[in-house]
Amino acid sequence: MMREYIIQIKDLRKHFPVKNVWGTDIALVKALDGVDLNIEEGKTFGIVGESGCGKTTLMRTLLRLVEPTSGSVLLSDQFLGLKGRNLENLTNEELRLFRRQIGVVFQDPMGALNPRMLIKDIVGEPLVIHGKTENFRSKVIELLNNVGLGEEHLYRYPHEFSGGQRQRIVIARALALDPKVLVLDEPTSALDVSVQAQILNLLNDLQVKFNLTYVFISHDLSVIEYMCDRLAVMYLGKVVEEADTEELFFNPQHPYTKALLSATPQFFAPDKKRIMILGDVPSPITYLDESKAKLATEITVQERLEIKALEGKEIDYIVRSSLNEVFPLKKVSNEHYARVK
Amino acid sequence: MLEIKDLKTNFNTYDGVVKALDGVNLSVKDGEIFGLVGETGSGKSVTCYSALQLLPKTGEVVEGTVLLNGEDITYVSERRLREIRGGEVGIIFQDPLSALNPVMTINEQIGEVLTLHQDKELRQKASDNDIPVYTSKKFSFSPGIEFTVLAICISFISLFAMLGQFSFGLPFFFVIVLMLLRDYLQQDIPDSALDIMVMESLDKVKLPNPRQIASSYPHELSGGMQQRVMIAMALAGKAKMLIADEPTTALDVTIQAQILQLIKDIQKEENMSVLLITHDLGVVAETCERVAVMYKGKIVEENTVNNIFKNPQHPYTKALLNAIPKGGKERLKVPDTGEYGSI
Amino acid sequence: MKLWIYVVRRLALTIPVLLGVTLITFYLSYGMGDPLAPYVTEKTTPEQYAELIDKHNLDEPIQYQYITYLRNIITFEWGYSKVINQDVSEAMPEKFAATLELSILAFIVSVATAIPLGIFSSIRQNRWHDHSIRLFALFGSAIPIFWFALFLQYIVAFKMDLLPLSLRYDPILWEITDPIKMDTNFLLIDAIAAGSLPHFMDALKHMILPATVLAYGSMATIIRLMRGNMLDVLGQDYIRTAKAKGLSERQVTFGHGAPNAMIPTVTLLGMGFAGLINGSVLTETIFTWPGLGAWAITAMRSLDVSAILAYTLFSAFLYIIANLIVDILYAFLDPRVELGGHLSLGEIIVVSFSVLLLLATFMDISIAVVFSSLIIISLSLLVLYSVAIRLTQNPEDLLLVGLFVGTLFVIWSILTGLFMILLFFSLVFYSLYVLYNWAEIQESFAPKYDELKRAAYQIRRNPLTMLGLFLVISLLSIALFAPFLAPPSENQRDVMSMEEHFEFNYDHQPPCYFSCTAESGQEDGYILGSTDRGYDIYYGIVWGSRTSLDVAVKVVLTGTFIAAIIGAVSGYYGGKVDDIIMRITDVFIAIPGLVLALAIIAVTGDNSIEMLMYALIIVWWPGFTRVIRAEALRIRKLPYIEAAKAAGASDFRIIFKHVLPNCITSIIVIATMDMGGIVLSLAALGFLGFGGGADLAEWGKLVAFGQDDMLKGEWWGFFFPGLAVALWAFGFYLLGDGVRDILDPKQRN
Repeated sequence: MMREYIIQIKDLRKHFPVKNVWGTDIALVKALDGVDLNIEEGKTFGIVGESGCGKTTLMRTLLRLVEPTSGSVLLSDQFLGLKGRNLENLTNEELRLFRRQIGVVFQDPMGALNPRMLIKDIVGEPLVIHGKTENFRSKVIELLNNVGLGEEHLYRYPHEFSGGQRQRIVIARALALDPKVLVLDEPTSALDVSVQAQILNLLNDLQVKFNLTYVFISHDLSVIEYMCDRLAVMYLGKVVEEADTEELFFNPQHPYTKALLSATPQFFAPDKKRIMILGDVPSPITYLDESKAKLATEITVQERLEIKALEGKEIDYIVRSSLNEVFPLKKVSNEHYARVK
Repeated sequence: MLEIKDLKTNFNTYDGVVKALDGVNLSVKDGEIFGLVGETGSGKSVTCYSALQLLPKTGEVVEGTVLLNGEDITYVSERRLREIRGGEVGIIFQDPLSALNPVMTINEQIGEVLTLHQDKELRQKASDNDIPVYTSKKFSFSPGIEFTVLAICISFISLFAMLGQFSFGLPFFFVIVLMLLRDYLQQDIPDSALDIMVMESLDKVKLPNPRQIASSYPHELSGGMQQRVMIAMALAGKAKMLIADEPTTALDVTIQAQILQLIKDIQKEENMSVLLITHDLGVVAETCERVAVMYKGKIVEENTVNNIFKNPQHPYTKALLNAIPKGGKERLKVPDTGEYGSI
Repeated sequence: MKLWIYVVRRLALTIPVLLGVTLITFYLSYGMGDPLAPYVTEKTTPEQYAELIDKHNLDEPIQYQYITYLRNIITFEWGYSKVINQDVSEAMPEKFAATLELSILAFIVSVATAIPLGIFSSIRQNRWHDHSIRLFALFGSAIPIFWFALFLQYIVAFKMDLLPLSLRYDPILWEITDPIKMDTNFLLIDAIAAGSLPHFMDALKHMILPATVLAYGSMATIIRLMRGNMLDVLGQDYIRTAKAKGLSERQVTFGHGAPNAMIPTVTLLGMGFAGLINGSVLTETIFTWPGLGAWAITAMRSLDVSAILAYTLFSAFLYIIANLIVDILYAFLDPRVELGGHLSLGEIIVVSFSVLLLLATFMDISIAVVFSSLIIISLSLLVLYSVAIRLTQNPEDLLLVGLFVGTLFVIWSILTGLFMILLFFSLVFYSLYVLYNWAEIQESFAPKYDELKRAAYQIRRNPLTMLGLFLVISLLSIALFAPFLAPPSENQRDVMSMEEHFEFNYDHQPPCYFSCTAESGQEDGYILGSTDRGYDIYYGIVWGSRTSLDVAVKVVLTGTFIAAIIGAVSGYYGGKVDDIIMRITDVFIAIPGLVLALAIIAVTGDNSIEMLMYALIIVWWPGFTRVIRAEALRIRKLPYIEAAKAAGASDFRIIFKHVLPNCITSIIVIATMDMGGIVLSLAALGFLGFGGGADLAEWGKLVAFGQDDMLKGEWWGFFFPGLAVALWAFGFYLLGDGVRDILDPKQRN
């Protein structure tokens, strides 16, 4: 069956240059390094990874808050008037059209609300920007009702609300212009579990009600598993594995995915055999001067120490490659490590 | 090991008195990892700060007793309390970067604990190996101040030289000569007992290259390393009890797994008691033996890990477990808006 | 060695700033004053005069003149100072040594007392120790230096005769009875070198009063900063860690708290030192200390252009050096500071062009001129090109241009008084709008009204803020009800005129407070006494408040407008726009404020109140702009800005709807405080004899009148007008402090 893709990301790259004192580039931070993703209409697409893996850069590129170095983001005919257009080539007018059809929810709900604006103005701001001010008040009330808030909250400031309520306000604002796609950047990681559950339920309800497509970014695997239909695991700017959620959770293919799943503490299955990733998250910096790059089979002293500590502990381990490679190393003998594909 | 009885703590805020703890009872046995879980504002961190009287100025313990190895430490002297902190109970905090002093090297920060609580061992080690206990203080200021003095002197000398009055610059020249002379007279000094013991404690938490790490500043280390340093610091005073306040919340999952493993290993090696405070039920399930669940300043349930997850008794525990996504896609059982109300 | 590269970079970047300073001084001396004044003496013959004109290329176009000017500066041909009959470059070292000795002592005194006081105040937060130290500090910022100096002089030196009244040393001892060598011209060091205790004690005695006066002002700033930083640091996580280690309260405060709190304090010390040099203008004048400041003032009074400009240049130079050292020191003290950063293309271009320009001055003049014209033309083409590119890419930015034009219009309207009319009309329109949309506005004002009530409650709870409010309201009502409080005499045409109020027959009258009789000749006598020409001090204070209010309101309004718009734009856009604006403010900030204002007034020779206002605005806007810019820089990184961008909001909308409303707290606080600060500067200028026309009633000028009578024991002459200035500044500072407490969300919890 052909799947309906609403957004197709092709070989997207975003490199931030690292400069020395004289202003010449000596290295690149490869925040996105050739990402291919197809986002299906009406479903939830999850992106998961550790800090520095490029999830947030991906979000910002999707919203065109940063310009990518190369690659394309193709829009489908679901976006009115933008069929087949590449996001990076939109004219100013088209960009306004695009912004009306995509909403965003940020991680920190307090920071995402201007403390000096009333809720009425915050939720209604997209309406004002795009000139849809007739029936302003009733529209804003309707938006608030959608997320479980009401008319009595119109004339309040953000600091009068609890964390969960603030996130509801952010969601209401994101829905103001009837978007097709909602980008959710760790929407619940600042919230307690009970409030998180409320927000997740709300998001599910809204998805059904408005036929929304979600791009759900998170580092929390249990939330991702609950919310998403399809899932991509990112590591150092690359997608290492992309699969339907159930498939990925029950039959992970990539060693990194396996280790990530194993590292996530789960209280209902604590007896499983563990796989641990050793060492720190490697830096995504790639030196342009080859001689500064480390050998792929080199492991750090830290990793060596941890290996020693784990011996005889019934724990499998994976050594992260020190090079910016997605494929980790596996210990073959005491001294030798091999790249695992 | 640690026993808290009917502890009540109040905070005085702008809007009146807030009861943060409302009669907390818990006991951590010798050599066990005890978990304390709860949501934001349930009072789990306040419990540990109250126990060691580390509350901010606005907070105040109004009732209850805290027993450490049978000794009542609620109303002991400030002096005894300082012996306990770091010496008998070590604490690690949530965000290691902000919990470490940004302008002191790791060596200085761990060294402080050793000088306070391991003085005898330090002297023993020094006399055994015939090395100084502490590095004898050089007669010098911080490099910043040294530099300023030098820079000011040089700029004034050159200023007056430009204006053609060399003699006016003489006093500044004199200062520079003094500084150079001082540096010449001072020689390098060997590793002290303190340096060696700091490196040993770093070695214990599986940090590579202790010498280099000891001389670095917190921001130069990665998050996982910083938390290891915090653990090393908490253990440096040979504490028999470790309180870990959300030790892995600020870390990535893979690093979190490493740190939890480290805590487990050390606990087993030293047969310590650990009080692990967290909001993450998964962390508790993987690490602890017994758990207490906190809600609104009270312990609502206390049991072994298996029992509490398989057979929760208290409605709040049940609600909390229901709120966590567990694989399936069925709707999470929570009220649509608002709080739990009067559970 | 990363550090050395950093130092070199910072050094390189000071070159364009210094060039900018020379541009200002060049403009002042060539555009407004007589450029030849520094080289012309009474003995100059017409032939020599023609020669001078030729030498300085005065008959050539302006770029020739500037190159010559630059060359003169670099080769230390700073001209001839009439007031001391010496070449400037010859007199400079001696004068500088005198100023430096005093400043260093004052600096040591202020740092050594302020830092412990600040720490003490913070660990006793909100107890009476803290309150008294805060009051002491606030008073230090509010008290006019010159008034404090006169006060001490009167009490300690004149009445009690404990310390010498003025001068640097006792000329009888040092020059006649026991002359010693004065090699370094640092008298304390010379005395030690000569091994003479009497000389040492004499020099020290002379230094105590001026150093105290000089130290108090900067001490106040350091205390407040140190206290704030300390409170900040004591709330940090690592303080809790330190306590959890088992360290005692004292070890935590001094081992962990103080070193961290010192870091941001140090950044102020450089400014503080430069501020001392700035303050030495007033102190040296009062204590006739033979330093740079006193020299500069004498020069300004007799329009000795060379000395004024030399002093301005020299202060700027010192200031830049001090800041450079502080910057580097900061990098040393705080290991977190990244020395990285790289030279941007713009920086490289600007620095290399400035260096080339400097080199060009040594070439043949015509080559240099062609060369520098080329540089300037290509630079401006570059700027125009990038502006054009930007506008074609982002037509929205045309609004920015409109914004700047609008700002200029508002400034012009404020200065011409049109603003008040505009304000009136907009208020009328606004009230019509409110009436029309009453229902909705009522609803949206409800939460704001709650905030206001909360603020009012907090003000009422804080006695210091209440005191500030009381002072401000009473001083404002004095200005408002002046005609009733001090009715002008019948034959007076201009109520603000002092001359028309002189009563020569009734000079030197002591104050009679409330028991005035007809004895003094007037019906109700002189409540606060009279000056040597029979000027009623009470009358002067009441009408002088109008001058203060007028100047303060206009300067603050204009400055706020400029700063808010330029600061927000600069901080929000960042990049090149920000770079250019920041370099311009660098140049202005490099010249100490009072010195620049004095130089502008002195060199233009225009002593009207308007010129005074222009000078104060020019001095004041850069600092304020920087604060707003820093705020905008912080705000633009917040997620709600990103959210607005993602919703498609234009930059214009973001600046006005999101950035500026969130800057408003700092704007209000700074504007309130500077209502006081401006009056302090105004009074200082007036005291030095630049009080906006010889005739205009002005507080600083009244103090200057009183200074002459002080040695006759007539303390009221300087005391009451100075007290008015101090109370005014004190009131606004207290109010600003209180407003900050209320508006700062950190203080709420």
